[in-house]
Amino acid sequence: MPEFSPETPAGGERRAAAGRARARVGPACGALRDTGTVSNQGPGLRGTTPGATTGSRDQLGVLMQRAAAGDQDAFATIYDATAPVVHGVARRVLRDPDLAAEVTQEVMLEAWRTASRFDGARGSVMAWLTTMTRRRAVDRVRSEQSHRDRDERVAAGDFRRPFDEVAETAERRAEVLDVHRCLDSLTDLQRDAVVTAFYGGQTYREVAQSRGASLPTVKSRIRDGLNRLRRCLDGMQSP
Amino acid sequence: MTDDDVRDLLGAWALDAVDDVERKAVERLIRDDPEAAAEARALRDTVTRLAVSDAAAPPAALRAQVLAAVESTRQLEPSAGHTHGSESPPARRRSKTLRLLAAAAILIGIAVPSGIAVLQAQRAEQAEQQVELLAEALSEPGATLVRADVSGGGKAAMVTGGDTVLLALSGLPELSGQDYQLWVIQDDVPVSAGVLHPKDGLLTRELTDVPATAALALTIEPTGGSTQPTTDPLVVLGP
Repeated sequence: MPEFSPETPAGGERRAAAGRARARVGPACGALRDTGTVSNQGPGLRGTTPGATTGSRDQLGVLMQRAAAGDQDAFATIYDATAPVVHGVARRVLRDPDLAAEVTQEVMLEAWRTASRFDGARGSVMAWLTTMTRRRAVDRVRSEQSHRDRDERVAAGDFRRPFDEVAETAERRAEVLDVHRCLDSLTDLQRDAVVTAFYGGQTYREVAQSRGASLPTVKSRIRDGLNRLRRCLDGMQSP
Repeated sequence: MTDDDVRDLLGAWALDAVDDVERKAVERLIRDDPEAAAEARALRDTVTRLAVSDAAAPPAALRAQVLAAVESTRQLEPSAGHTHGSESPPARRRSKTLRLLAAAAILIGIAVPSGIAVLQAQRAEQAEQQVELLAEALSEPGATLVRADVSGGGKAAMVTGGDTVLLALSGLPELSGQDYQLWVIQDDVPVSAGVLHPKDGLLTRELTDVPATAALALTIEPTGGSTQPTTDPLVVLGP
């Protein structure tokens, strides 16, 4: 098992987790609850069905619609809930905190600018931002350095990262632990393909090439690996 | 690509590890096949959880910077054709005749410069997908096609329809130590639309949110691209 730093959660007074609901909702809503700004947001934010985050009517989706109409306060709440995820993905892909911060800023501004294009029917806000972030970060990698020497560094065993700056709540620790455990349940080849494609910013074609595997093989590794990860996460019952 | 080929791409699609042509093919499958849509959704949510598990707080100062920039950043208006509903627009219905006509026009014009028989299998497949994609775009009501030669070698075609622009390039010479970069030019102001990495001289790119009065231009830039064009355009495609 990965080792996790034993720091106590910053902020000290965070509200208790809302039971298993968090596994579906993820830290986005945890962050939303934890920011302390939620009381400014009116009643619409509370009491939304857990799990709705992935639906078209999730809290962030509603906020994004408000942001699209020019509501800067709504966008500030979106920022608080999503910027750590955006920054985390940027950092994993770029491996440089300064560049990651730049990409985070670019992505958040792009989200503001194109908020009207967000379509909750097609996926969650977090999924939208994750895709946007990875794309930007990959573009940045290509402009900062040659692509090929990164290959080594995005090794398959490298997906673990100790907890760090993010204020860790017990529920968040459990969620991260779930993801790590479930990544461990993939075969080495599946994990390698998923991790290399996602964090290495490679297309599956590039993964196939660098691994000397056929295209159908790599397609299946990624699809089967992600499906296994999904089933594992759905079944996780960590305390 | 058969439906099953496309279905195998769902995992890579969820990671955004596919090219534009493949993405389009997957999204067409998702539109037409509820089972694929459910899997796509679940896989993308899984990828999002992977991303969320990496969350890392951005520098605290970034928040104020982003929110200050938000104040002065104009947002995109909701586009006319854009809906938040889940129905596919009726324009999706494709006319077979139009498709074939369009495919023929494109075949003559750009996609297969030297006879399909001599192309390698993969390149032929790419060319075929490119044609398919262009044909589909052309069959949208009100779609227009603009074509031009690329100086230095190659052909370019642009299909506009709604708020989507599809760009297809073929026969582009391989560059070393430099990149092709695409620009959206409106009111004489170029905005980068990213660095292009053609495969075997072929590339198809879908651009959204391009103003109807804007033109596209292609330049050669130092690796990774520039913030402003530094060379004369190889081709300009305008309305």
